[in-house]
Amino acid sequence: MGRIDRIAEPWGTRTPYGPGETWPTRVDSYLADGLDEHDVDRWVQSATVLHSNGDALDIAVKDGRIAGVRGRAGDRVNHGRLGPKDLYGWQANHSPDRLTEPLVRRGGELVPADWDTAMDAVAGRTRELLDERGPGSVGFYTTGQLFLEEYYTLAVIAHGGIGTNHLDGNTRLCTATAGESLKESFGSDGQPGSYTDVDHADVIALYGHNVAETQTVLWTRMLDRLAGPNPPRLLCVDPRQTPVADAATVHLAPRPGTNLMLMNALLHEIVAHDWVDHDWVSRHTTGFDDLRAQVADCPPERAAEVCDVPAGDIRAAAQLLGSAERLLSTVLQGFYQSHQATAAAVQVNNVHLVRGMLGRPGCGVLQMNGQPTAQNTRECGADGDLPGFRNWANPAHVEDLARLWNVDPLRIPHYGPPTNLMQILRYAEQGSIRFLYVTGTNPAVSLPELARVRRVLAQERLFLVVQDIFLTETAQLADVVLPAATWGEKTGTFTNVDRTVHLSEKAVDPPGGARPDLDILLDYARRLELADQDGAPLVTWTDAEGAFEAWKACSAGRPCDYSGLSYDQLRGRSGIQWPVNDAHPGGTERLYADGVFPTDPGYCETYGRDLVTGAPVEPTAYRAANPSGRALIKPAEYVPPHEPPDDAHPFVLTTGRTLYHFHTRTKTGRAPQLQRAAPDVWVEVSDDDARAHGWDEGDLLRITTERGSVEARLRISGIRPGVVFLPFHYGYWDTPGGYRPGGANSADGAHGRAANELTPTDWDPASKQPLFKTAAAAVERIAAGDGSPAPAPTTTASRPVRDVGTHTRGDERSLALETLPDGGAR
Amino acid sequence: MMVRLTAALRDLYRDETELAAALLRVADRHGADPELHHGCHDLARWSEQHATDLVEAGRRYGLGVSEPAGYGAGYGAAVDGAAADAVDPGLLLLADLRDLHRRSAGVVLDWDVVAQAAQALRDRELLALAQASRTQAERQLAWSKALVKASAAQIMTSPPQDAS
Ligand code: SF4
Repeated sequence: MGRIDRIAEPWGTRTPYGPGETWPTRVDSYLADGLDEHDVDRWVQSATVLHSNGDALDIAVKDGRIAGVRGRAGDRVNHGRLGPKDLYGWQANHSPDRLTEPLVRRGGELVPADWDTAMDAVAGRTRELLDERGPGSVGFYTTGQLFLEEYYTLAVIAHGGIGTNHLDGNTRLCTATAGESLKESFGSDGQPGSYTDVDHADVIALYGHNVAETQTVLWTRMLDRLAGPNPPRLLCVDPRQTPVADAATVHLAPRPGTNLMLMNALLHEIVAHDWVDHDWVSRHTTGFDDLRAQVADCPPERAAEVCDVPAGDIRAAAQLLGSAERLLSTVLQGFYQSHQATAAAVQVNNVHLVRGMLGRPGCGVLQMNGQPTAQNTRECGADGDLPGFRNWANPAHVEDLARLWNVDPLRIPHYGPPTNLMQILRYAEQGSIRFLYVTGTNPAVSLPELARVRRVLAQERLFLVVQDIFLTETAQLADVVLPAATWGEKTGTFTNVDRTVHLSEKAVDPPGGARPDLDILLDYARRLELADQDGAPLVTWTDAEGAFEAWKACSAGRPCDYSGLSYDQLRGRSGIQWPVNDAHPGGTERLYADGVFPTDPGYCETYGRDLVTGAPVEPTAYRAANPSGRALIKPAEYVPPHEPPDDAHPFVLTTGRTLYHFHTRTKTGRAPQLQRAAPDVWVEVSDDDARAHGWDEGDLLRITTERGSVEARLRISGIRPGVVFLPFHYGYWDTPGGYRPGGANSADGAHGRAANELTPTDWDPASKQPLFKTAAAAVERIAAGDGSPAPAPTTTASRPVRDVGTHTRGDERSLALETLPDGGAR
Repeated sequence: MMVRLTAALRDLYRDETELAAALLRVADRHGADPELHHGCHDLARWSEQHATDLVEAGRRYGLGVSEPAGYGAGYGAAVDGAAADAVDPGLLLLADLRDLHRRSAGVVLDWDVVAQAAQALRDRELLALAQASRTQAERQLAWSKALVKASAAQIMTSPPQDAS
C-alpha cells in the first residue's frame, strides 16, 4: 500500500496492460482523520455520484458517520479505482450548512417550518392551480443525481397523476443529445458499447470529450492501455489542449460551432477511400446513399476553411478511423453543448455504422453521460419522455403505460413531444406555468443567460419549490425549500453510461429533519390524493425497493429491461449491465451484437426528428423508410453557428469543467482538498492572443457578451487562438451576493463570476440541449496581475503554457491509499 | 416558347423570396423564442439559396430577375408590424406559424411543377435543383407544423392575460 496525493496526481499510478487483457485491479481509498481500515465499524455498498462513470465503492462508517470510501476491487467498471472527487467529495455530507428543516417564504423571508406546513403549502398550491388552470400550469425540473426509484415515482406523479407534459431533468443540459443521437441512429436510447471496449480497441476517438477531467477513472483505464504493449492510437477533437490532446496521435481543434462540418469531412474521406463495410451496411442499415450524397461536397479542403483546421490533419484523422480494426468512440459536451449537437453526434454513430464496427469487443460507441444517474432520468421518463423508452407518438405505447398505471390513456399527455426545460422556463416567463418543483439541481447557476433565469425564477406569480441539500442560489429564490437526504443517507439504484446498474445503500441517517427525495415525493402524491381510475392510490409503493419492483414491471419487454434484476442480486455483487431478463439473466455486455436494432415502428422509442430543423418525423414517413431492425444512417447539412464573432465581440466564448469540481460546487466546493485545488473562477486565453493584447498570466480580465459580463484572472493555456474558456462551476453561494453578482466585495456589483451570465438562450433543435460553446465575446483587461498566477489547476487542460511557479497539489489531508496489483506500494 | 415555365419560375422565385422575408420577419417578432427565432434564420438561408439557384438555372428560360439582395437585407417590409403589437402574443405566434406553413406549402407545390417540367424537358440540372430544393421546402413545411403542434396546447389552454 502506498500513500499518494491524488490532488497532484489525479489519475494515480499506472498499471499497464495490453489489448485483450484484463485491466489490473488497483484499490484506492481515503479515510478521514488518520483512521485506518481496522477502525471502521462497517462498510456499506454504493457507487460514485460526482460524475457519470459509475465506479463502485464502499462507504466507511465510524460511529454513525461517514468516515471515508474505498473502491470495490471486484467491480467491472473501476476495478477498485476512484477519482479525486470520489475520494474527497463525501466530506460535503457533513457540512454544517446542510439544510435540516423545511423553509417557507413569509413576508419575503425564508423561515423554518415543519414538514406538514411546508408540504401542505406545496400540495395546496398544486391543487389550486390544477383546479383553476389545469395541468399545463404545473412543471417539474429534476436532475441526474437522484436514484432510479425517485425518478420513476416522479414520472408517475407528473405523467400519470397530474397529467402535465412539463417535466424535464437537468440531463437536458447534459445528456439529452446523447439520448437523442442514440434514438436517431438505433431507434432507442441505450449505449451499444461497454467500458471493456477500452481493453480491446486499437483506435479510440474522443469527440469533445475531455475524459481525463470528466471521467477520471475511464481515462485511467485508457492511460493504462497507453502505458502497456500495443497501445491504442487516439483521435482527439477539442479546442483546448487537454490531457487527451496531449496523448493523441491526431488532435483537431476546430473553430467552435463547426463540429458537423468536421464530421462530414471525416465521413467524406471514409466514403471516398471506401473504408466502408458494404456487406454490413447493406444488411444492417438504411440511408447510406443519402449520407454519401450529403458528404460528397464536404472534402477536407472545405472543412479546413469552415473549421479552420489543416486539411492534412483531417485526412490523418480520417485515416486513423478508416484503418481501425477495433474502433471505440466517445462523445461529450464539446459536441452535445455545441451548435448542431445532435447532427454532429449522430455522425459519430454513422462512422461506426458505415465501418460495421458495433457489437464486438473494442467496437463501441459511448455517447457519454455527465451525471451519475442521467441514464435513469432518461429511462424512467423524468426527462419528460415516456418511461421505459416508450414512444409518445405511438398510441399503443401510451395505452400500455395507461394499463400499467390503471389510468385513462388520455390522462397521459402525449399530444406532442414533452416540454423541454428551456421551453418550461419560457412558459414560466410568459406566465402560463405558475408552479415549478425543482429537485436536486441549481438552474440559477447552470442555465444560460442567468440574468434572465433569475428574473423568471424570482417572479411573484411563480410558486417555486426547491428540494436540495444546501441553500443553493436557486433555493434562495424559492417559496418553499425542502431539505433532502443525499447519497449515503438513502437507498436506491443507479445506472451509468455503459448500462451498469449499482445499488447504493443507506449508510447513515440524514442530518436533522432532512428526508430522502423518495419519501418527499411519496408524501406529495399522498397529499394530492393522486388516484387511478378505480379511485385507488396511483402510487402503490412506500419504499425504494417497492419502487424498484414497480419499475421492473414498467421496463419489462423494453430495451432497458430490468425485470431480471433484484436488490438481492445487486447486493454484494458487482454492477450488472441491463438488459437483465430471462434471456440475459447475467446482464448484457454489448447491445446489437447480432446487428438487429430496436427500430421496428411498433417497438422504437421514437420516429426521429429532422436533425437540422428538429421537426418530428411523421409515423408514416418513418414506416416508409422501412427501418425494421436496421440502424438508420442519418446525414445532415451544416448550418453556420448563430452568434458568430464580430468587431465588437471578436472572441468565441466556450464554457466547461475542471477535474476538481462538479456542477455548481454544491458538494465539491465544500470538500477542502477539492476547493483548494480550484478555488476560484479563471479565464483561459491562448498565448497568441495574450501576446497580441499584452496580457499576462494573472491579469484581471473582463469578458462581455450581449448578456452580461464576468471578471476573472487570466490563465494563458493551450487553448485555440480566438477562443476564451470559462469554467462554469462558480456561482454565488459563497460570495456576498448570495445568489447573484454583487455584494460588498464587488466594486460596482454588475460583474458576475458565473460563466452563464454570458451564455445565450439557444438550444439544439433535435435534442433541445442548451448550447454553451459558442457565444461572441469581448475581452478587456481591467487590472494587471500582482505576479501571482490565476487560480486555475496546473494538472489539467487549464495548465499554463509556461511555468508559473506553482503546481496544483494537496497537503497531508490529501494523501490517499493505493493498493497495487502486487499488493505493494506504488 | 417556354412562356409558361418562365412564369412559373418567376412565381417560384417570388415565393421563395417572400418566404425568406416572412421567416426573417417572424424571427424579428419572436426574438424571445429562440427555437423559432433561430429556426427562422436558418431556414430563411435555405430559401435565399433556392432563389439564388433559381436565377442561375432560370436564365436559360428567360428568367430575368436579379439575385436576392443578400442574406438578411432588404426583404419585404413588415407589413403588419404595428397591428401585431395589439394582438395576443400566443395567438400571434400561431398565426405567424400558420402563415409560414401556408407559404411553405405553396413553395413545395411550385417546385413540384418545376420538377415535372424539368423532367419533360430532360433538363437534368433543373431537375436536380428542383428535387433538392423541394426536399428542403418540405422540411420547412414540417418544421412550422411541428412548432404549431408543440405550442398549441399550452397556448389554447392558458388564459390570454398570461402573456407578457
Ligand atoms: S456539469 Fe457535466 S455532468 Fe453536470 S450537467 Fe453539466 S454536463 Fe452534465
